[in-house]
Amino acid sequence: MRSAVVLRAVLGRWWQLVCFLPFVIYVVVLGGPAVANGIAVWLMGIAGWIAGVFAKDLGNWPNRPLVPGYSKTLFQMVLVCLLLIPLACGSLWTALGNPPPPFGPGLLWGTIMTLCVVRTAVSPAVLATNLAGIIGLGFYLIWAAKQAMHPVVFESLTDWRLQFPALALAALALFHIWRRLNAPLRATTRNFEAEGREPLYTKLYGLIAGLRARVWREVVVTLPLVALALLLVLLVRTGITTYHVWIVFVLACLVYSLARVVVRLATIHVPLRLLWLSGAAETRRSLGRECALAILMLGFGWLPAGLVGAAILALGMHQAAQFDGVLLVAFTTLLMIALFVGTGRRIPSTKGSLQLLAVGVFCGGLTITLIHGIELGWADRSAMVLVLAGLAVATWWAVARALARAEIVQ
Amino acid sequence: MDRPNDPPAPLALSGVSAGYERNDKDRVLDAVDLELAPGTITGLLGRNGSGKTTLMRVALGLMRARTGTARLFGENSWDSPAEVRKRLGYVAQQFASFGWMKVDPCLAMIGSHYDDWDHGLVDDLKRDWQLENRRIAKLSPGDQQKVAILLAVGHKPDLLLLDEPAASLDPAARRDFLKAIVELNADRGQTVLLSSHITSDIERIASHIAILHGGRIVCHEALDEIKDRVGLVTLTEPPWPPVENVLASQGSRHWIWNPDECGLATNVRVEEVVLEDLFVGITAR
Amino acid sequence: MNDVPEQVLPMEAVPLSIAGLGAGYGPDSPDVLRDFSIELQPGTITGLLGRNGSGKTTVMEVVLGLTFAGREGSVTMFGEGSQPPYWRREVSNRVGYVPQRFSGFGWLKVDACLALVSAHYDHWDYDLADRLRREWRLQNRRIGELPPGDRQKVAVLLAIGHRPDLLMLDEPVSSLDPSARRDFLAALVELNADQGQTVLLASHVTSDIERLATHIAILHRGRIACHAALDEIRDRLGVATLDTPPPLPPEKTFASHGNRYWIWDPHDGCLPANVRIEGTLLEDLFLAVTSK
Repeated sequence: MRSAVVLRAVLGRWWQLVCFLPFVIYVVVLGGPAVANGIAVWLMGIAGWIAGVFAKDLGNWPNRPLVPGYSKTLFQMVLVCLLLIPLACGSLWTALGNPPPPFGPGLLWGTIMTLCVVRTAVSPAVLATNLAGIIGLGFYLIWAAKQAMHPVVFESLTDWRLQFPALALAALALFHIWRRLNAPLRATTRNFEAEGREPLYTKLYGLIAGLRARVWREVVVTLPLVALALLLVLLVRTGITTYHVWIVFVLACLVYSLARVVVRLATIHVPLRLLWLSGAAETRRSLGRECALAILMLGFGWLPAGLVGAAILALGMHQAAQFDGVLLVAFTTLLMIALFVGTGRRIPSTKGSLQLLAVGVFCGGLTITLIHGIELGWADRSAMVLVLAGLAVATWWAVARALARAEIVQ
Repeated sequence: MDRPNDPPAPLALSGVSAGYERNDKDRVLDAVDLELAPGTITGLLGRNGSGKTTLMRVALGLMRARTGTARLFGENSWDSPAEVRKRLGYVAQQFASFGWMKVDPCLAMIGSHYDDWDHGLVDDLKRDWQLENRRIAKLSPGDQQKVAILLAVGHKPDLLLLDEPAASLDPAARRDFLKAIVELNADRGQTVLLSSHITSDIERIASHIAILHGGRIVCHEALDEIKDRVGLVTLTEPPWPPVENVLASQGSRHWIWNPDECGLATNVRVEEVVLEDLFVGITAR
Repeated sequence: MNDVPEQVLPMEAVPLSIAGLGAGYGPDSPDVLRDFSIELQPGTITGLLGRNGSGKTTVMEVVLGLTFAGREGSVTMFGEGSQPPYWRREVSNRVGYVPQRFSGFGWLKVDACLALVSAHYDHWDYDLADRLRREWRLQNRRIGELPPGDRQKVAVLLAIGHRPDLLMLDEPVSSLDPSARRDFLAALVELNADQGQTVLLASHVTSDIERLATHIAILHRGRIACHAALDEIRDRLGVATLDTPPPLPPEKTFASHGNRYWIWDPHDGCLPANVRIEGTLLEDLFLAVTSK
């Protein structure tokens, strides 16, 4: 009975599962063996993320520790998500006549994702960063696997010498998840300071909380990208071509922007209401324009960073690669703006479901373009860029209009 | 600011309906008529979910009325000009914004959006309410509410809309707050629309009450009028009072206008009206 | 599912006893609670009063083990000491808590949420929950879409559905409309009368506390500044307005504010005959105690 009600509660978020499904089917059915190895790991990460989100959603109420056996239920649910979903996908994959996927590293990544989501304070920014991380890294793996640059990397994933330590570490992570699900909720604002009980967290939160000026916050947020750039530079030295490194970095920047835009959209009613009630915006139309501009600036603020970084990395690169970059940027622009319009229309209820659905569509579209767009000819690419750019301008106009007509609720 | 000789009502709603779902059947408000006279303090009462917040959102132009018009100082509220909006103050039910800012920078930031921010008033209230300059997310809900109120009254608005502002304040802070509202109202004839579940607060400061029920304003009267002219009687048998005199009924209890003129039996005792009972009576239907 | 032996803990044990509790957030921040002690007798309804930010929420969260803010002191629940109470199933089956702000479950419908939580308790009173739901006109909508008052009703249902012996309520009524408040308070009194439930109720609405509580406790500057039976306060405490402090032993004067003095047994001849003695209003008393 208990599992039935939990299932019923979880199914309330069916869209979260659905938005990843077409993408998963696409790669499982169409990908090659090397992709599958990468995918298995990535899939576990997704499963871990979903498990974490469910556990967090269901556990995110102050009474959680008071209800007998509640934390146990949550933990069981996490186990089901982490083990059953990847097992099913892995079996399907093996049944299609392929070698068994690497469960050890997969489970490790899955548990780490769960832990990340469960551990974070409710801050949507952190959640979105997790999402960005999983998508960015997932893309990287798919991309690298598709190009089959280093089959040895993926072969080693299934090696028992890696599998066993990974499983042991995963068990450790599971233990931490169990402890976290039993600990008091840290979501309430006052409890935020109670992180002081854990020295590492004191420092981390102290660092972020202490940075007053917005500039510094932005710098801190950039750090993961800088770290990624460094990692990629290291990879270049190991023999991966500059071209792929460049693509991955731009991609990471874009995904990062996207995550920040999603966060901003979730709280857009605050600036909208302030600008409207204080009379700072003269008319509804100027209100829409100003807010759309602010969001776009925030979202695309990362583009220059990505492009500059890319330019440094891409010195002396093949011309075709630059063209692919333009294509990517244009495509992402379109998707982002579509996202704005989609959410902007829904501001009255700001449905997180729509946002995530849009993210799912974005992931799928971007991956498919990445995998197939590269093989297009010059003329096709030019036409695609033109069409996308035209659409982008049209939708940009629609954003301001949607915001101007939006009802400001919440 | 120049004012015309015969100023239009600060807030006038006529036939306003509004809802959240896309289909027209979901109507939180259904033909609401409400006009606030300048300088009045109106207490807006209604059950949970009756649409008090929606009414305020429509009045402020945050939501669009499906039918009917909402006017602020004579201008349509949905696209009212900036000068009209600068005369508004609004305290939302839950203040969850600007959590990362400290109190003083937050007040300074919002203040910078207005031309005539009254730093003296804000500082005085801040001192009276013992509000510390801490990060807003770390304040208790009551203190957060105080910040929200400061943000709404700092520019001395002519029309102040308060959505359950006092619910999370302790008695001392609530007294200070109600005092500040009454003072603003007395000083500059500010018009106030205040929704609250604490009927004793409304009785203490409001000049009018408006009761929202079933999507309509079912009762909008001056509080003095109700106190003076309405009586509560318990009737189990005829003679019944005339229908047009009955304000509300709950079981055998009836609130009636001018009970002396209704030809009631002589042994019927007429009791004083308690606002809370009257509210429960009206919204029980 | 009923595999837990019933009533392991003695019924007559003191539901909640707190001794010398100190609490604060973060290592360098000031104490929120300092030497806080209180003992609730079974079957009493205690109204916990205090100014905004005085620590009412902290008391409840520390007692229930919902925060790490506790620094020292001991908490005993039903005679069980020292450990966070939620580790023991038989304790958590007997405790209910309504938080100040109910958050979470935004996408769940009310029915699903009630089903989810009720499945975890050994005894869940479906009749009570259904009856209150009907009386409160609570629709089966997504919780995130409910207005705050309705959300609070859900929180209350979740906390009292298992008929706890100790119920802690952190400002449960401040967002309820008067009708729902009456229904809720009536249900609370009924539970208290039925099964001698002990209630700790933090609220700003002093009129509700006066109507409902048997005891009051005023929290000021991290301590209990006043803990007394409400009947006692009503019967024995009088307010006198005097120009000079009365020449009385200190234990007679309960509180003072300006030139008003709250005095125990003022009619026993300790004051001059011409001094007018008024009855006590809880709100005034609260203001006096917390103004120091």
